[in-house]
Amino acid sequence: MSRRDLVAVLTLVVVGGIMVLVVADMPAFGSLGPQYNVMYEKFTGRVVQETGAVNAVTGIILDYRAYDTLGETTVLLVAIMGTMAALGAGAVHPAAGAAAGRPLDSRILALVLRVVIPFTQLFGLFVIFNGHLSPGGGFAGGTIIGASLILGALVSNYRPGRRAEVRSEIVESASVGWYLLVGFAGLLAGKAFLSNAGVFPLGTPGMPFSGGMILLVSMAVGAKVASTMQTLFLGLVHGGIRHEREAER
Amino acid sequence: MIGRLLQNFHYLVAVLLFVIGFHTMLTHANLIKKIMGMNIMDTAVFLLFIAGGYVEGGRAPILPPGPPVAGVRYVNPVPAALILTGIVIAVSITAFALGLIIKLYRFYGTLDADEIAALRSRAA
Repeated sequence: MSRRDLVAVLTLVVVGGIMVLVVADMPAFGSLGPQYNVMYEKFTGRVVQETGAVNAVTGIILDYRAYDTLGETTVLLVAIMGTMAALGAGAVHPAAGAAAGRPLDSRILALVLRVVIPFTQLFGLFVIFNGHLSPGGGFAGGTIIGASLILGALVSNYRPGRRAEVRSEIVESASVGWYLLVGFAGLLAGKAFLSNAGVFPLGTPGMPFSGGMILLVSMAVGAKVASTMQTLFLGLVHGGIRHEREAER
Repeated sequence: MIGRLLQNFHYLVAVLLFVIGFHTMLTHANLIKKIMGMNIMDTAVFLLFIAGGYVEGGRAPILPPGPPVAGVRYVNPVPAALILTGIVIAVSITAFALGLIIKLYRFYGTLDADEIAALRSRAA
């Protein structure tokens, strides 16, 4: 055992020991009391009336904390900008398209995925548009659609043209813009930025078209997450391919 | 103390995962493995949050459309809503770190943090 391993183990014993002591002092698992899970009653009792969403988590994320979710989409945008800046996006080698066909050349996989991908995307759309009624929402559905887009990129042998990348970058920026527009609707109605009740019709809770702004924001988040996944994947793959090109020369 | 620890073993699993991830980050020189360790640490934090929101006998917080049904308990929805931010940040950090690693590999030709440090000290 080297000296560095010894230091690492000692650090872990100290850090883990402190955490175990904290766990021993935490309230019992699953308890509900005055110092623990305090806001629980407030949220489960009011979410349906105030946001029109039956799913309490979606009601919190896309209504009470809609401003925070806007921040999250901004975090994704900044992460993409940083990654692309680090990788030097836009500089795909002109000959990249021809030689990139190496990674995946299975006809069976390509055929199966061609059948599977539309159903995956349909399921992703269902999760996005049902986010206020059942578990799911923009983030989960967007991830499912993003995964299907990545599968599609794998089947079509990455095809590192700029078009797919540019398209998903446009969707990304447009979805953040759409989110902001929904927020400004609140200002136009004389309420706070991104307010839901009183600006959008809440509808009957439990019905497909209910929850007012939640459905609109959910669409924005879904498009944002899906396009972010695609952009990041293509960006990382292209960065790697570009590196191989440079190494060959 | 031991009784409380056994009762809270869900949190202990989170601590264990965190320590495993931290160990991976500290002892592996490979940068990709460091990122994997960081992701395991992220997962430990998510687990701790979600476990903290559990309410004894609680159901998933999909509420009835009408007035609340008496006697039915739900799991606390707030930690689940809060930890979404953590997940988004974990994804963003991972993507950015992977981008930087590609850049590092392009420049130094290695993913080993020790080798990179050696190369840098030789150049200085």
